[in-house]
Amino acid sequence: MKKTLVISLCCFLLASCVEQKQLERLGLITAIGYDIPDESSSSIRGTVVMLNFSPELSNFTNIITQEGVTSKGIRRALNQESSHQVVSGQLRVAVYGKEMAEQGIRSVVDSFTRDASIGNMLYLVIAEGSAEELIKFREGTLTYNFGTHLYNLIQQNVKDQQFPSPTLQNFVNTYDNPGKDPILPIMGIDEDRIGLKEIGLLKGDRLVGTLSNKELFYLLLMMKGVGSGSFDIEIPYEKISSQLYKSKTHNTTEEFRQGSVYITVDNVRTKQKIKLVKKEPPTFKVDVEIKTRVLEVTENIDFMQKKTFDILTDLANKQLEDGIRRNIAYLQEIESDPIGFGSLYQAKERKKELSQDEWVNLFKRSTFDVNVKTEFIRTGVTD
Amino acid sequence: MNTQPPAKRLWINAYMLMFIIHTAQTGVGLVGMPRVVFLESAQDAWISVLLGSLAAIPFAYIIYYTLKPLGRLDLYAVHDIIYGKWIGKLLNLLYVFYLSWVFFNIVMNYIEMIQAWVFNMLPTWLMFLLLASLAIYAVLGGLRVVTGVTILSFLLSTWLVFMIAVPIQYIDTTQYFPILNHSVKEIMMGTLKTSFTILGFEILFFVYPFVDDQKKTMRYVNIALIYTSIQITVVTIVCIGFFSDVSLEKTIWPVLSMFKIVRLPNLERFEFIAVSFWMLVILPNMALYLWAASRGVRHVFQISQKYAVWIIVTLCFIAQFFLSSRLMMNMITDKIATTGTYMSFLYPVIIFLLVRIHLYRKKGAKSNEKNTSN
Repeated sequence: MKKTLVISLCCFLLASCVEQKQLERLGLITAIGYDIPDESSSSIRGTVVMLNFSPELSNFTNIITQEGVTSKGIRRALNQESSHQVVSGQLRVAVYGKEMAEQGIRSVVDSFTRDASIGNMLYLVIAEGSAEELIKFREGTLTYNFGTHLYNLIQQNVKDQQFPSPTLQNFVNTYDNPGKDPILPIMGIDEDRIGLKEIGLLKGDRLVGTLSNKELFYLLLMMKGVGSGSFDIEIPYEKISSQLYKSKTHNTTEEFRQGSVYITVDNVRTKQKIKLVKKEPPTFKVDVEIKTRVLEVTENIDFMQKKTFDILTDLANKQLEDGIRRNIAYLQEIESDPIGFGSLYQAKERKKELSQDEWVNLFKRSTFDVNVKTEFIRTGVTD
Repeated sequence: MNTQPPAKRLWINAYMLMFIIHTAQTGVGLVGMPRVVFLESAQDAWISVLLGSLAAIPFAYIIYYTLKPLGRLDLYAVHDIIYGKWIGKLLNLLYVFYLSWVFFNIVMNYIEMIQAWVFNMLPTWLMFLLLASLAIYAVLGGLRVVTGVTILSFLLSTWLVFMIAVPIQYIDTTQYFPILNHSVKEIMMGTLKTSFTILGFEILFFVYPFVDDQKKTMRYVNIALIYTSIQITVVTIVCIGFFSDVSLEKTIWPVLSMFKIVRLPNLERFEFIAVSFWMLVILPNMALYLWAASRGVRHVFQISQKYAVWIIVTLCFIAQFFLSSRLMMNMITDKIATTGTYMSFLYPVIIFLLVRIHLYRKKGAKSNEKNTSN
């Protein structure tokens, strides 16, 4: 009897020993943006989207801007302005202004990795202009939570394998790896919508270059785990003319005879293999194998003949190889290495550990032997 | 001196040793271990861990062969026989101090973990009392209850190991290469650093007299040791692939940070569950060490084990107020790791040799007696 009493007393009396957090009294930060207000000062400007739950009103969001030297300092300043306790456990997206990204974002990222209450699956993005502008876009008229909206937008694209997941986890891991650099999406306002504009290539924690969505495709081809999506193959008319489907009902129109035929193919499976073949100067062999299916053709191409595929494969291979080479040359120029050629090199280098600078020097001297093998496995439901 | 073998109703089955040894080994050390070893031998850390954890097997054999010829005696009684009354007492007290220190360190490490991850405002003393009361409750029930706790904890917490399947998908295989480019010395240093995690098998010194079918002891101890080896080696391998060099060097609890990416549909942050569940992992640790330490106090001072438990916990509770920072915690953990390495790897060898010499002389004396009587 005595024992039962003691145990039940423990259960009831100790239940609220630890700190409590009542949902109604919290302001949940769902998105945070960082900007540099002006070049001279060392302070940063933070803009947050805060979600409140209140019993009277329906859930509402607030956007607050504050300045501070550190990210936690900004939070402290926010707390003084808000009637709710500001917590960052639900933080989904961190937006960096382009100017800030160009100067380096590591100092602000540190506050995320140090704080156990912030998840590792938080997305980092760069704003085309300033982060404040992006977050304040349509302030007041939004009926939904902006942070969650931005998060879903990115997640949807990541799931569709349009670009590699820009999570905090990925960023920190690639940033800390001297032989690999992070890439982050750049979001911008497009008239009345927010969308993915370009891809930002970073060197360490600084934004050094951008790739258009079209060029990104070639970059993704070299990356493991991503690299899906459709692309167009351009076929000069004279090359394909003999392979066109002769039908009685419609004839090839005159205008097509001058230009090119386009065929859109969808990437079903990609296999990439990057190998270091020679150490001095670093020579990499990049092999990409793509299995595709035809999605759309602008002209009646006869897929019954083997020769058609030979022509298509040749053209596709050449186009993709050129794209990849162009891409690598650009990466070498801006000294960013999102593919991780550096870590491949490091894996073979037994003597010492490379620093970022040493790798950049090697990377600029590296040569690449690119081979693409395309295979058409399906042509849709028609021939 | 209290050297009576334990009563038969207190014995435990030999196969229980599987749970006792395994749970005594896995504890707070595991969550931080990959990083500590990585600091020594970088991407070859997993080799260090594998070597270190398998090294426990021969030393467990040494413990077994030390105790086997003496019947149902634990280390404290062995000390009395070998060194005589006063030096024996002193050494017993030293061992009690070591065991209580391990107990203390386990609790403090876990509290630090809770404060860093879940409740950062939680007062240390409160959490200490809560955890200690659980351990006391188990120990007061005797070894059979402690064994029950180990089995319960094992069954309830092994599933955590399988959660590692999620981070495996994010592994970057280039990070394992080049394999074996660290010197033997660096790998051995890593092996030494593994010791804090592997510690726990020395509990055999104290549990052995209670084992029912003593011939089967080593079979089950080996199973436990090998299972632990596999477990911690796999965890280390995954950690090396999952984190890049610098990140792993900076992360205090890599295993928990790895759990951060596990995301269930209705549970966004899995690591909080992992931290809370970790209490089940450390509970047998606390209970076993507290039990062994309190048996020592009972043996030396001839008092009831009940009082011994309260004395140890009270002293630890007082000590807890003097421990405040991460740096001090690190230092204490490092110290205990080195001490533990000597206690469970070097000391068994010494005591083994001493017992052999003692037995040899006793045998000699006996045959002498026979000769003279003839």
